[in-house]
Parts: sequence; C-alpha cells; structure tokens
Amino acid sequence: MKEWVLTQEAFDRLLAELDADRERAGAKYEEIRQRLRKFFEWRGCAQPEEYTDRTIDRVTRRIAQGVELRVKDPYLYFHGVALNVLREHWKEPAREQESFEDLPPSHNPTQDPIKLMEQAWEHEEKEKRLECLDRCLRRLPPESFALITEYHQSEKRGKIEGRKTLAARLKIPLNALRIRAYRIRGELEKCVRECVKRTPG
Amino acid sequence: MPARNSNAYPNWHPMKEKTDNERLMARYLVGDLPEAERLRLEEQFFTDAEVFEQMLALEDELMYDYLQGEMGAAQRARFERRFLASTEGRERAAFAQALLARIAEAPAPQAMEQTATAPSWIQSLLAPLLAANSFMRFSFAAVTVALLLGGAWLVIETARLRSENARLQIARATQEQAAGSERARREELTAELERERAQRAQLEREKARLEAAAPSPEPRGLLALALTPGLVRDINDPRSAPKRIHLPPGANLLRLQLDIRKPGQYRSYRATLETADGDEIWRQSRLRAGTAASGQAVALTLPTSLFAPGDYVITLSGVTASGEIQEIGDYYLTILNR
Repeated sequence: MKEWVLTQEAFDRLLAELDADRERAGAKYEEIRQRLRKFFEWRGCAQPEEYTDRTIDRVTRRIAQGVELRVKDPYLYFHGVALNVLREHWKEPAREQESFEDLPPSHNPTQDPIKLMEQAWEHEEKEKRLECLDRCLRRLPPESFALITEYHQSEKRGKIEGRKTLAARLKIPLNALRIRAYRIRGELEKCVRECVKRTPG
Repeated sequence: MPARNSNAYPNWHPMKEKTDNERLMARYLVGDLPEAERLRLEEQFFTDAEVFEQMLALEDELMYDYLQGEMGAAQRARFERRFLASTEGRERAAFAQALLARIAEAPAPQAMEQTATAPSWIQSLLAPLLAANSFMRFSFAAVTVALLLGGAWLVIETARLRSENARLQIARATQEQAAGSERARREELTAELERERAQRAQLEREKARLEAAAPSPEPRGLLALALTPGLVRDINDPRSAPKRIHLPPGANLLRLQLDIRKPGQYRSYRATLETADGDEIWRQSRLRAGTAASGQAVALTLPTSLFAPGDYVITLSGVTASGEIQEIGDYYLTILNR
C-alpha cells in the first residue's frame, strides 16, 4: 500500500475542520497533539510521538479524502482514531518478546533506577544543570518559592496535613494547590532548560 | 464506581482528600484501571482542559511521591515501567530529585516567613552604604546626588508647568466665554431670520389668495385689435384697407381677432403670416373659433418681435372634418413703426 504523505493542502483542511479561524485552529491542533502524546505515554507506548503522528496523519488523510468529522467534539474523534492506532500497536509482533531492556529498572538485575536517573544528567552536564536550578530558584517570586518548599517539605505522615493547612491558608482547594505546585515546578523546569541552553559549556 | 481497596496498595499514600475522580486518575496513570474506566477518563481529559491539567499535575506529583519512597513495590514497578523507561522520563526524575534536594536544604517555611519580612525602606536605602566595598559606597553616593539634582529639576519644572497650565486655563475660559456670546448672538439672528421667513411665507400666501380672487389683468405689453378679411384689396373701399398699427414701445404681444364673415363647419383653423414679399414668417394650426361681437372669430397672439415696419397678410384657412383645407380669407395689416 502506497504510503500517504501529508501535504500542506491536507493539513490546511485539517485545521479548517478544527476551527474556521486559523489561529484558533492552530491552538486546537497543538492541544490535540499534547493530549494524544500523553494518551500514548500513559497507555505505555515507548514512542508516544510516533503514534501521535500516526494518529494525526490518519485523521488528516480521512479529511483529505472527503470524510467529515461528524462528531460533537473533534477531540473525541482523535481519541477514537488513537485507540485504533493503540490496538494495532498492541498486536505488533515485536511486542510479544520482552528483553531485559524492556524490564522496568527495579526489576532489571543489572540496572539501578536511581543511578539511571543520575546518569541521565551526568551525560548532560550535571553541574551546569544544578547551577541553573539554583539560579532559577533564586529568581522565583518569594511566594512561589515558599509554596513549593512548604508543599514538599512536610514529613511523610504530616504531608497531607501540611498541604491541607497550606491550602486553607491560601483559601483554595487541595486540587488547586496541587496544580499551583505543578505550575511552579513546570516554570522551574523550563527555566533550567533555557538556562542550560544559554550557558556555554 | 470501583470499590475502594486500599489494601491492594499498603504503602500507597493517596491523599485522603482526593476526590473519587482524582483516585481514578492516579490509578489510570500507573495503568491500574479497567478499560471501561480508562476510556471514560480519556474522554474527559480529551475534551476538558481542566481535567487534562489535573492529570498532568497528578502525574508530576507521582514522580515526587516515587522519589520520596511513598510507593509500594508493585506501584514502583508500574511507575518505573511507565515513567522511567524513556530518556525524557529519567531526565524529569533527575530534575525532581535535584529540586527535592534543594528544598530539603531550604529553611523551614515558618522560618522563611520570619526572614521573609521585607526590610524597612530606610534599611533598603542604606544597605548599599553599609556594604564593605568603597566603590559601591561611592557609586551609591554619585547616584544619590544625581537623583537629588534630578529631583530638584523636576520640582522646578513642575512648578513652571503648573503656572503655564493655569494661564492656559484662564485663556481657555475667556475663549469659551466669547464663544458662548457668539453662539448666543448667532442663535438670536437665526431666530430672527426664521421669523422673517415665516412672515414672508404668510405674505406670499395672502398674495396668492388675493390673486386667485381678482380677475386676471391683461398682461402688460399686449395690443389687441380686430381684423376683418379683405377679399379684394380695393383702394377705394375703406373697409378693405389694411389696418395700420402703431406698436407702442412697451407692447410685447399683438392679439389679433380675425372675424369670420362666413362661418363654416370646420374642425379647426390654420393661420399663416406672410410679408408683402410672400415670405411666411409664422404659422399656427389647430386653432379654434370663438364667439365674438361680430359673430365668429379666431384669436391669434403673436409676439411683436415678428414685425418690422411694413405690410403683412394673414391667411386664415379652415380644416374640414375630412381633413380638407379651405381658404377662408386674407387679413391685411401694416405695421407703422416699433
């Protein structure tokens, strides 16, 4: 079967199906990509990006061939196609064999997961990253630093109580507190990545 | 709704305050949810941005729970398989580990609140002076002097601008007053004009009313006379002699009454005006005969500009019902002068 190639015209038609306004359509496209990627990741695919591309290509090809997305929400259409792609992935013969490399690190007799994590940075200029992390922490607004510190500093048993207290002081539910902490950590990660890029190594 | 079975996760410390949906999310993230529940949750996070962010936050938090030893063996295996199998996942874990290390070194939040009290403004101002570096002190002094000079200039400039502003406001007020007077005068004139227009319209209506009631006077400059036909111009018969007409200076129109000696049954009449040399200078058709003292007559109204001093003849013809033209008579006149 001849492999279908994504063309600009087909991509434009995909965007047009998502929204009449091209800018909004582009934003929706990015959202769909992110959700697909996470979907495949959370479903245990080793290469979520590849399966995301496969899903989007499939939907785009259908639209280019004249299929209309007759669904209430186009996001659900992508989910449906992604499920089909996932099922095909599960049936692939290569998955039937599991090598040592596929074992989780804690079950692999030759791999120490903590060491693996440290190695992840060891090869990536660990010292530079740590310096960047310190720099980014200093740049955090004081209230953000205090929140993230208090969020993670509580002892195991007192963690729940500590977070409850923090949430009550901020007058927000625990769920919102979790999201705030997540956003602050996300800012720090982004700051560190950019700092590493800028810092000559 | 799946039954809560915390015994399956003895070392799991799900936050008791998590909602049912959050517990489902946590189980989904480690791959411990039946397919039907997975599909339902996926539909939620595909279509709802808030749900999606909740899942991202939970996923991120699981990393910290994992690193802080808050998972049992089974959960650790699931988590590692899911999130540490990729380079990206391991990098994120390394970052989380480093962050936790830094947070552990930071002072306790309570202590941080005390030390986080903002210094007074005097302390902030004098902090550079207290620094051990003389260069810093000199720099601070230089900056302070520059700021003081700049401040003084600003004060003087502000005062000048305020004075200018006051002067401009007075001028503006004067102008507005003059403009107000001008507007009032204009409104007064407009009202007067409207009154005069109304008065004129009323006078014109009165005039029209009077004109309609009164008989129409003769238009100015009209000379009227009656002509009888001269069948044979007999110099001995005074009746056949042409009418001699003196056109007064103000006469614009000449009304001629052509008496018809032998009225016939004509549908209409036609008249032509010729000079003594036979040149036709005027013609009119579809004329009607009227009743005159002499019997029947056809009335013509001609502009006096047609006539130069000299002899003229008007030929009157009748048009029968069948369209035949029959000559009725010639009418002679002599214009003496203008």
